[in-house]
Amino acid sequence: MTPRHHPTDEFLMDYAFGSAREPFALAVATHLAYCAPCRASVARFERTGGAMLGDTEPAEVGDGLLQRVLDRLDDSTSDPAPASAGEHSRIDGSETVPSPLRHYLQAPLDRLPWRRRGLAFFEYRLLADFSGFNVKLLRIPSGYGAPSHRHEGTELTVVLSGGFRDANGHYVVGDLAQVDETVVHRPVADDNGDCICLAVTDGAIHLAGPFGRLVDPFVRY
Amino acid sequence: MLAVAQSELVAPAGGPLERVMSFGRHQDGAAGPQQPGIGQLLARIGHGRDRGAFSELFRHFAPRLKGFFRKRGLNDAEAEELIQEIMLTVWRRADSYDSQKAAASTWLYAIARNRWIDRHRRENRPEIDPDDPVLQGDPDPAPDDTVAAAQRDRLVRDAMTTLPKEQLQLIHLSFYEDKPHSEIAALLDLPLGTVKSRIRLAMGRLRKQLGEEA
Repeated sequence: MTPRHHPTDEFLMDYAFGSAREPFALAVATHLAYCAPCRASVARFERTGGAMLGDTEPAEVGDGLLQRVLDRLDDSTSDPAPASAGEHSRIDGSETVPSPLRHYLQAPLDRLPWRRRGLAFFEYRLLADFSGFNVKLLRIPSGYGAPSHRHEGTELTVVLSGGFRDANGHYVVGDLAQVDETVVHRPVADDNGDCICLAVTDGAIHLAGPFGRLVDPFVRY
Repeated sequence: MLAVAQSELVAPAGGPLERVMSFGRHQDGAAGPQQPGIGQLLARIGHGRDRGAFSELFRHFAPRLKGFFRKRGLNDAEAEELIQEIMLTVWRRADSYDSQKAAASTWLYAIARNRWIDRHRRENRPEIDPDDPVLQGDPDPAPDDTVAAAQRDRLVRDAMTTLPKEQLQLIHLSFYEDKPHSEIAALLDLPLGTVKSRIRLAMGRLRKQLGEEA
């Protein structure tokens, strides 16, 4: 089923032109695995990129460069491995995780070292060293809610399992919820099983409510 | 003179508006109508390991890549190092090029983009695996194979020339600057909402003119 919630065009464009930073690219690529119309949008931007590259004003290339490349054609030792391919991604039991995300997990979802945060939700950090972003998998037990919070910047959340609801709508597997700053929201998991999401934010997250100052589990640590 | 050239590398000459207006002036300068299309060259490289075809593709593509990376602030040595990596990747992957799936120019662009991310920015590029059984949705529609690759590029150019200047400027800057839209907004001193709506309008126009498929 085609998802009903998508990233906006500027995020698809950033992804297609390669200017999206890796965490947002991860959220977009994970959504793309579920969403044929967004794949078509990215392909359209890539096609535009191909035409623009072809129209780029040529710059003179040094004399010897072609020969240097020809000399290396049979040199298998310099083969640059595909940047995003990783054999470690083939983990038994992870087949419900789309390929872009699978590369980032050490284990299937049910065997990840989840950390309990607060009363009733769990998280697993990804790309923890990537500065300026907060990237994590969230697991919210059926019927429970994540703490009410507000972000700076943008949060992209892709549902991997189950579903959740907040003031903006209802999100199920494959949907990407895009929340911009100033919105305070409190996602509540559907009652048909744990809700597991990939959540990527490029700004600080502040808990709203009386306990926000005491427990701020989203802030980098 | 050298100092001028150096400063141009750091901050490319011309403001964003001036640079955007150069789009479309350099269409296939070196490629006459007699020249085989890059799709055919890729087929000869992929299936025949044809070094002549590779050299021809290099002569067409490398100077454009260099122009592209110069705009992104690389010096000659850095740009040429990256071009080597890209052309070696083209040589090794040419047999996986499928003209049913993408125009040759799109395929080449994707390789250049991914090498940039990998080698220059030192990041991974999360991508879908087309064979992933998790992949959902209708099969990705193939581009109309009856339309030659060069003609497909022309359709894109024609569609882009219909865009209002401020939309074209955003697409162009996003393409050349290696900056996400939030930084482009800051660069142009525009509200983020304005940038978002212009990109949405441009995308709508491209979708209308190029069709629902890619």
